[in-house]
Formats: sequence, structure tokens, C-alpha cells
Amino acid sequence: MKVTVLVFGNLADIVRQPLLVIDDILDTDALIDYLQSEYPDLQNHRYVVSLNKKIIQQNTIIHDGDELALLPPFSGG
Amino acid sequence: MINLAKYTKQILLQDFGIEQQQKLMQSKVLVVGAGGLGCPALLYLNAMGIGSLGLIDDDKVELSNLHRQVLYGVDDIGKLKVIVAKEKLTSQNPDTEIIVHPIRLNNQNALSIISMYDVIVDGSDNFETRYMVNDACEILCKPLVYASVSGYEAQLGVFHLLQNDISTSYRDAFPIPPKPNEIPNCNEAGILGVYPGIVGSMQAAEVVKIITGIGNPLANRILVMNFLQNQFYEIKVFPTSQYKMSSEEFLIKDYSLTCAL
Repeated sequence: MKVTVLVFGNLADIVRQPLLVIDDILDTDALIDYLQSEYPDLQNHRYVVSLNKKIIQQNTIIHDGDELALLPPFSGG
Repeated sequence: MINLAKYTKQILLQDFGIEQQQKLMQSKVLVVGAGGLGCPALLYLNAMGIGSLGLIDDDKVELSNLHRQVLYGVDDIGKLKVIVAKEKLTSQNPDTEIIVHPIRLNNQNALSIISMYDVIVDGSDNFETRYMVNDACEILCKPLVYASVSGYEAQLGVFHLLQNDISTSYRDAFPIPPKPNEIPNCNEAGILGVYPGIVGSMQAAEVVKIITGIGNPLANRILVMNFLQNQFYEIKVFPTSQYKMSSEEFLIKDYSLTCAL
């Protein structure tokens, strides 16, 4: 099972790429735990997670082929 | 009597006629922040014939603003942005009533200022103002056209506008304000001049849809744009709570503290 994770804003600088492909992740909490262990600086940044282009606010099961995104808020204007 | 001739080319549009033009001419729009997003939004809203345009900003023009804040020139450095903007906008379209608020929006003045307008455009440059404008729009049931830029990316969305029986808030997308200095602003991260130009223009286009009823405003969604890749990514936002802030709570809320949490 594979999912893609799009990474926006300054989070892309932390993971050093705009798109990650990740295997064998059960749910969004597990995904965040995995990403934060791989890229510890993510813990210092606030962002929301979308699953298949819908913002989620709680742990959600992930299926093969799902598309996730990490979206930080921007303040610039 | 305002001469409609200058709006001929938009009145010609299918689904946009004299009735839609008159709706624009009867509307009042507030642009929060006369900066990178605010300048293009103001220029186009003014050109298209919005009846009254409010500008709120307490900043003065700086040299480093000019590459993106296209209402100002080198001769304006040191002057109050809203004063310079009013002069330029009046020369562009004398039929628009320009209302300047040369002050910083705070929770004591926000409700009385925002209540004067039909649609609010958020072109501010800090989270304190963004959360405050969002909360004030929620309390007053005013549609909010949100946008923000960072580096090569931008976000655009419409909140507090009922669509398919759902209305969402900026807080439904981003419930917890970031810590100070967590997210780089334009001064720290840098910004290419044209990006807020594009997104501020898109805010003006959303305002037109909201006022005239044409098309499909970007309600309950955030459009994320990456200009280096020409990538446009639209994310749906859902209501997360039944809780609505009261105006009494708003007046005692410390927004600088909220952002520090």
C-alpha cells in the first residue's frame, strides 16, 4: 500500500521535497508520528492535514492510493 | 447619476448585466491592509465600480514595499498608505466613495468598522489581525475573502458565506494560531512582487461573485497555489464546532496572547 503526501509552504523545506511517497501507514496519526520521527523539525511547526483534499481534524484511516497534504497557515500579505 | 459607459465591457458579459453592475455600485467592501494583496484588490474593485471602498491600514509607504504594492511610487515613501491610495483610486475612478481608516484594526474598533461593510477582504500581514478579522466577520455574518502569501505559495478562500447550507470559518481550517515567529512573513521569507498581485486580484474576483451572485465563490474551500510549479490544489473545509464567539467575548479577547499560545 502506498500513499502520497504533498508538503506545502516552509514544511517542504523541512522534508526537502514537495512530495513524499509512503508505504504501509494505517492512519493519519501514524503518518504524522512517522513524519515527525523522520523530520523532527516538523514538531516545531503548526499545520493541518488533508486527506483526499478534505481537511481532517481527527485521526482517520488511510487507504491505498490516498493523497494527503500538510498545509501550514500563511500570514503574508 | 453614474455613467455606466465605463463598465460596458463587463455589462456585455453573459450572466453579468446592468443588474449585476448596479449591485456592485450599491455595495460596500472593506479591504484590510493596503499592502501586497490590498493594492491589486483595491485597484480592480475600484475600476469595476464598487460603490464604497474602505481601506484600513496604519502603515507608511517604504522603499521595500514598491515591488509589490503597486499603488505607490518612490515619491510616496514616508506617506500614509491609505492617504496615497485614496488619491490614486479617486483619480482612477472618481465615482467610488473611498473611506479611509488610518488606524490599526483592534478588537475595540473592529466590530464597528466591519459592520459598515457588506464584504471584507483580508489582505493583512499577521496572524493576530487574521484571526481577529475572521472572528469579527463570524460575529457579524459578513463574507470574508481570505488570502495569504508565503514564499512561492499562496492560499485563497471564502469564509462565513453560506453555500450548500454550510458556512465555515478560518478557524475550521486552522483552529490554533501559530506561535510568533513560527511562520515566516514577507519580511523574513521574501516574496516575488507579482504573487500577491495575482492573489489580490483573485480576491477582487471572489468579491464580485459574492456581491452579484454569478458563478461559484470559493466558499468552504482553500485554494493552495504554488507558482513555481503552477500547481493549484483545492482543499475542502468543514465546520468543526457549533461554538460561536459572542461580541462580549470578542471585546475582551487578547489577540496578541492568542497568537502566543
